[in-house]
Order: sequence, then structure tokens, then C-alpha cells
Amino acid sequence: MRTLQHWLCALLLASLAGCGGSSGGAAGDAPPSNALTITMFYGSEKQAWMEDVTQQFNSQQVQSTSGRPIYVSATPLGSAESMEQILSGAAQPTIWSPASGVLIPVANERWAASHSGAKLVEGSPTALVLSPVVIAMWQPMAKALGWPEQPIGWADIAAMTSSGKSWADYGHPEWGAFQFGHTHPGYSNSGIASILATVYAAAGKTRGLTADDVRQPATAEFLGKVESGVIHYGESTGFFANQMFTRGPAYLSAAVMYENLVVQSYDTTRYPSKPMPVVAIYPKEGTFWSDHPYAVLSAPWVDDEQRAAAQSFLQFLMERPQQEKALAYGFRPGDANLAVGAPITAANGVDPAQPKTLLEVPSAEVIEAVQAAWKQNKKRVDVMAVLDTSGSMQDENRMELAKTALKTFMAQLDDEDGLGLTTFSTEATVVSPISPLGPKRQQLADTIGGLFAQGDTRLYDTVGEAYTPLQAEPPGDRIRAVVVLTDGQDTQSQRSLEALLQEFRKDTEGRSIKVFTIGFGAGADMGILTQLAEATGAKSYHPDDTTTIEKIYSDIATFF
Amino acid sequence: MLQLSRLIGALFLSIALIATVGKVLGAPVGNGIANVPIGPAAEPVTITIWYGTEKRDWLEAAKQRFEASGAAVGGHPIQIKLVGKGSAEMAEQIGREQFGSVDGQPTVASPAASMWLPVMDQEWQASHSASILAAGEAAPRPLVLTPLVLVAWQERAQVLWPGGARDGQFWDRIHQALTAQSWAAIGGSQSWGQVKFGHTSPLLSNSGAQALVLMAYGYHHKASGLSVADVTDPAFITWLGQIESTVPQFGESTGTFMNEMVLKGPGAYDMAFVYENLAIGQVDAQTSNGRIEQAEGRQGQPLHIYYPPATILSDHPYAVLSAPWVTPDQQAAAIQFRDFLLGHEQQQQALIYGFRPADPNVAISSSDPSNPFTRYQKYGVQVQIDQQVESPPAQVISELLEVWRRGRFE
Repeated sequence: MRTLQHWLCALLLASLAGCGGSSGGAAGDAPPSNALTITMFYGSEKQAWMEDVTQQFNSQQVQSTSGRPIYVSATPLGSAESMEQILSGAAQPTIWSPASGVLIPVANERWAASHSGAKLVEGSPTALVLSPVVIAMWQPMAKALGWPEQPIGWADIAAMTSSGKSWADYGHPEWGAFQFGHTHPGYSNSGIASILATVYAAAGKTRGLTADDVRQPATAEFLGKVESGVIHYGESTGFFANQMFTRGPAYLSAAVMYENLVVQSYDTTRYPSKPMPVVAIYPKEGTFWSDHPYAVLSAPWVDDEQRAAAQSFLQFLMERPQQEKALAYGFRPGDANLAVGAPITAANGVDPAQPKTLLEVPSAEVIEAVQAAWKQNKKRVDVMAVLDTSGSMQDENRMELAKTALKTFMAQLDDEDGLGLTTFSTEATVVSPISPLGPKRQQLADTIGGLFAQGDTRLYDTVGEAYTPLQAEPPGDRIRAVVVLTDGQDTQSQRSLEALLQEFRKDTEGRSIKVFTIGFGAGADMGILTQLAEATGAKSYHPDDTTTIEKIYSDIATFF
Repeated sequence: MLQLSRLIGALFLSIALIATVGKVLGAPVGNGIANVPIGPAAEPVTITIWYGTEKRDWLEAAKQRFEASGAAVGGHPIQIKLVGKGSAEMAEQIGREQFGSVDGQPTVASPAASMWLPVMDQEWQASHSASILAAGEAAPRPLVLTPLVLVAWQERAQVLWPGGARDGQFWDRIHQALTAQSWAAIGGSQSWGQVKFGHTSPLLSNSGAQALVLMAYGYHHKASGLSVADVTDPAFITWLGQIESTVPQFGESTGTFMNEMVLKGPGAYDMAFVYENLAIGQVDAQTSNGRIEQAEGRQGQPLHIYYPPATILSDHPYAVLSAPWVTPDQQAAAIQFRDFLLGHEQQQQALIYGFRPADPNVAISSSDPSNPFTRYQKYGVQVQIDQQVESPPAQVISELLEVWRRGRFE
């Protein structure tokens, strides 16, 4: 523990001395006017390290082949999501560095189909840093399962989530239900790793998984049962880790993440009130590596000068000082000369001698079959969308933007998902109660299209009224959520903010109802909206220049 | 791909050269460099060398020394541009004249093994009337030699071959381990999971094709006389399939296996076929540690080199091209650099990078502490290679690759 603090302190000092503050996604100050800018999309797990080292690289003004200073603009994004954006042409980065190479054959196959057989990623890209996929679990819970003497595997986790067992079956009724989490496989690498491992467990294999194995009815059933134990999905592994370490074991018993995030949980500055230690479980059947490949894309939008600049940046990233920093952030360095030492130690819940075996990465075809099987058997959601239609929503075209965004949100939900719509101004109206979306998709879209703005803002009562019926249902096999959009502050409710928060805090029986909040416009009180969301373990959003209301609804949809 | 694999097969014959080349090579060339005074305005002669990436470090260092020596042709200083490529890719791109604007047109091709030169030339001759390989003084010559070896984590290899790897059980035990359900089934730890074996794709990479030949010989317990009947023997095909279906991933690059073993440890691969030079070569300027030493530092347990009962050599030919874009000055410069590489000093340097010199007058074993052949004996490095397999006839190779291709082990 002390060693970790020492490392992190040194790191903090180094970064303060070097840069004096971070500037979000695209690290570094504004590019020089004559700069050669290269762009990079990277898995968000390495954001802290990337921002640190990118800023440093940019400040060195390394020359491109035509003598211009190279400027790297690097954006963190879920690995599967960045792949989709590149394949659709929505994003055209010079460099792609997903969390692992698992997706590269999938990307290559799909790219080849529309580019006369050409590859998007050539050869074997260099691994920048490495971290195994692990199951992070609270140490006392792991011990209750017999760990470390008794190794734990994917099949054990699957059995726990699918059997309906709770911690009471392991002598700890006070811990309640077994709450499991992994990210959305449509967006995030660790989510894909998790469902691949579950399907391997279903097939009783550790290699040679086939599309036929995936299509077996028993596999679908097994997958469905495991997924029923998942509290919610999400696009970012980092968010999951953050929630787990901040909110404690009542929120999540275990989650699929990366070893570096477990190491990070021992950072007492970041997690001052983590209630108990977390350990990384290296599943006994094997796991996957997150090896952060650095791929310079073989795409028409990458020219030779950019390619050479990307090589210069790679060279910088692989130099010893940058690699040593990666280790300090809890990664295993991509530089083979660096031994895996502190902070990757037992004191930080991890074991440098693991993993001892791996699951085989299946072919692109099998991965796609697993993703399809998951989509059919994932946990469904019941969500109530709560929309502020008070008079001020007319300002700045907010109402129209919100309506478009809601329709996008709806498009991301499956027919079996339950969606309801409540509008509120002076009064609240349940426009459509929660029910399967399939039969009413068109009708609901038409209703949304016809909404208009007038009246006051009756926020707390409306949220409470949307929340209470969800709570009345017993814990079941659906994710439950309320998604609230407002542009103002409460002016009409009978109940107070405190009373509403009290109600949220009573949810201790594993229902895990999430209240996502969106503050639209300058009038929204983000402090209050953040309190509401965080009391339920959800996220609060505020659209700005870089985040549109549509993007926010899309992000929320990844939790389902 | 089919056409390429046939070509590889048809022309694999030239591997026969490899076995003997170390012995038949004549006296070292080492003509020395013509130190012609160079005027400040002299235009350089630039030669572009496409080379198999396995020898990057050695070539890069040699290039620096060569350019610094003031080497010139006709009063023009010689500049060298090195472009690293996979051998199969190189053969295909040169043969089909597919040159990127960055890589440029090559003056010299130096793949991992001589077998790729006819592959390249055959492609070239499909649209040209003459060979692309220069003849006479500029004819292809091997630069360095390296055998294919198996690297395995020592703890696990000791379970695999309790009596040592050279007890005639080399291949049989590998097959037995790979067909067992787990390491535990053959006396290893349950936590090691299944046995994981690796080599590159025989259709894409020299070392993968070499591994396949060794397996065919290994199955039949012989080192010469491999026949079409041997490689089409249904029992052999079943045996091969049982091994190949366990390979987690057939890469394009031999270096990738070595890298994965070092970075990810025994969890990723228990054993893999790689070139000897990749296993022992010094790649880190700061620590001067070879890969095998890095692996122990990184994973806290040693990797060990095992030589198959009979192995196979890669000879890294240096082939000056006879193509319309190669000028006489470039050809002369290319020959000068080749002779520099074959000179005593660079051949001695090659040793440090883990290669066996093509010049038989340079001793492999020495008391020099930087000589990995001396330094890494504890990791299993042997100076003497006991036996090499006889290169099978082209038809046999072609059939073997076809068997592999049909098996769809990828």
C-alpha cells in the first residue's frame, strides 16, 4: 500500500512539474499553427497514462518528415465503439489502440468486405501496455468462496449468478444478493471478454470454440441466466471500477475489469473510503489479455507523413520513462526489459505470476456469433423516460433536440425492452406506462413528435412517482431505470430533495434502480441532478460543446 | 494464396542449399572499402534493402558503421535505406512490383531464407523475360545462419520431458501433451490449463513452413527421405491435425511469438518454434539482455531452448536485384555493402545478435562475455547442431502445405 502511494505521489509530482494540468480527451495545449496533427482513438482504460504521456510528447514538438511539429490528439473511447466508428467512416483516426487485439480480426474482416479484401490493420501491432482481464471481487467475498486456496473460475461466477444463490448460501446473509457486472459488449472490450468467457464456460471448453457451440440452445439458456445477475451494463470499464470502489459491496459484489483497475483501487487519494480490499481473481479456466495494440491504420485517410509521425509517437511511448510510468499506473509494460514489479504486487490485490493459462481468442466469425447470442439473451430493461416539458424547454430549441434524442434512445432499445414515457411541467402525465417497446414503437415515436412545452417544473414529485412503482416490483431479471431530462429547477413539488434521496437510499434489496439525470441548458441545477443520479449509482450528464443531447441518450442506452 | 503456397512448395527445394551452405561457402570476401576522397558536392548513391525483420538490429548497426566508414562508389558516398518486411510479403511485393511510396523500389532483397528467392523470381518472370536475381559477382549469397528451435518454459518442459528433450521422445511427447486434456493429465499443475504450442502460419512465414517440415520428419522418426507417401499418410494427417488444432494463433511473424512469450509469460504459450537468433539475440541497448534473459527477468522463471532431434537452418540470402530501376552504381554499391557484411568484423557482430556467421572462419564459441552462444548455454544454447533434416523434394513440400491448407487449422 505504502509503495503504491509512493509511486502515485511521484507520478503526480512528475505530471504537475511537466504540464500543470490536464485538458481532457485531447491532451496537451493547443497545437502549434503549423503542426502536423495525428489523431488517435484509444481504449479508455489507459486514459490516465495516455493523457500524461501525450501531453509530454506534444510539448517536445518532435519534427515530422516535412519538418512540422507533430501534435497528437488522442481521444479515449470504448474499443468496440471506436471500431464501429472507424468502419462506418464516422471517425478517421491515424492510430487505433483498442484495449485488446481481439477486435482486430473482426475489424479486418469487415473492412475487407468493403475495401476489396484490404486489411485495416496490417501485421502484428506493438503492445503498448498489458493487463489481464480479471474478475475484481471484494476480498472477504472472495474468501467466502474459498479463495485463494480454492481457485475460482468463470463457471463458478456463472453458476452463482444463474442459480439464484445469494451470499446467504455462503454464510453471509448480510451481503444480500450476488451483484455482478460487466460492460456492454457492443461498446467495450472487457464486455466482449466477459461474454466470450461465459460462452466458453457454457460449452465446457477453453479452446476451439465454434459457431455451432454458440448456437446450441443450452448455451443461450446459460448465457441468459448469467446475464440475469448483471446489475447493468455500460460503455466504460473504468466507470464500473469507479462505481464499485466508491459505492462498495452493496452495489457490486464482483465485476469483470482489468488488473490495472484493481491496482488503482488501492490509491487512497482516489478512493479514500473504499470499505474493504479488492482482489483480482484470475479465472482458473484461463482469461484474456488486454494488450493495447498500437495500430497505424492502413486507411486512405492516413498519408505517409502521418504514418511516419505515428511511428515517432510509438517510439516515444515505448521508451523507458514512458513505460515506467505505465507500470506506475498499474499496467504491465509493453517493454519486455521492464520486470513486472511494484505496484503490481499482492499488497495491491494482484498477482504478477498470473495468469497461468489463457482462453483461446476465437475467430472473427465466432466472436460475432457470441455477440449475436448475447444480444438475444442479455438482460432486458424497464426504463421510464421522464421529460421536462415546462415552458423554458422552448428556449434554444431544447424541446426539439430532446425529442430527436429520445427517438435515438428508443432505437437503441430492443423490442422486448420495456419503455415508458412521463412528461412533466406543472403536472406530470404518464404518456405511456412501461411496457414492451416492440408493439408500440411507432405509436410512441409519433407521441414524442407531438410534444410541446409549457408550464412549471414539477421535478421531485415526478421522479418519485416514476421511481416508486419500479421499487414495488420484487428484484427480478430486468434492469430498471429512470432517465430524467430537465432544463430547470424544481418549482412545483410537494416533496423535498432530501425526501427523494431518502427513498433512493432505501433500495438495499438489490433492485438497483438507476436514476440517470440530464441537465439541459444553463438553468438546470447540476449539483442537485448529480446528487440524484449518484444516490442510485447512475450517471448525471450536462450537454456541452462536445457532448450533444443525442450522444448522452446513446451513452445511457449502453447501460442497458 | 493457393498459388503462392504452391510456389512455396515447388521452390522449397532450394532449402537444400541451406543445409550445406555453411560448409561450402568460400573464403570470406571482405574486400575492404574503397576510401575514395569525396568532394562536398558528391551526390550519394542510395541503395534500398528489403530485409527479413529478424536481422534488423544487426543490419541497422552495420549500416551505421558502413556509412560512417566513408564508403563510396565512383566518388559518390553510399547511403543505405533499410526496409524491414516479412519474407513472404517481400517476395510477393517484389515479384509483382508492388512498391509503396514509403518503402521505395528495392535494390536488394534479403528474406529469411533462400526458398523465397525463386518464389519472388517466378512471380517476376510471369511478366518479364529475364530473372530479377543478379548473376555472377552479384549472385545471391547467404549472410548469416540460424536454426529453428523450440523455446519452452523450463518448469513446464521438465514435465514434458522428464528425461530431457533429446531422448527420442521429442515429438511424441509434444503430441501426447497437446492431445491430453490439460497439463494436469500429463503430470503438470492444474493451474497451467491446456498445453499451448505455437508456430507461424506455413503459408505466410518461413519459420511456419520449416516447423511443418520438422513435424513431418518428427512423426516418421527420420531426418531424410521424406516422401509424398509420408506426408499424405492418413495417420500422419490425423497426428498433425491434433497438434495444429491446439495452436492458439498462427501469426505472420516469428518475432511475435517470442514477444508474446516474453510479455505474457507461460499463460500465453508453453512452447513455440522460433529462430535461434530471436531467442538469444541482444535487443536491448540499455541492458544488453537477449530475449531469453528478458523472459526470465519479466516472468521470474527461465525459458529454455530445445533443439529438435534434427533441425533446419535459415540462411538469410543477400540478393542484388537485376531490375530496370537498379543502376550499375547501385549494383556496385550493393555488392560493396554485402562484402562489408560478410567481412570478419560484421560476421563477428552477427554473433552478438545471436546469428551463426555464414563465414566458417568466424568461430561461434568464444570467451567474449558478450557472445550469447557462450553466455546462454545455461538456457540450453548449443554451439554444435547435431543433425539437420534433409530438405525434401519440392513435390513433397507442396503436398505438405496442401495438407495443412486443406486441414484449415487456422
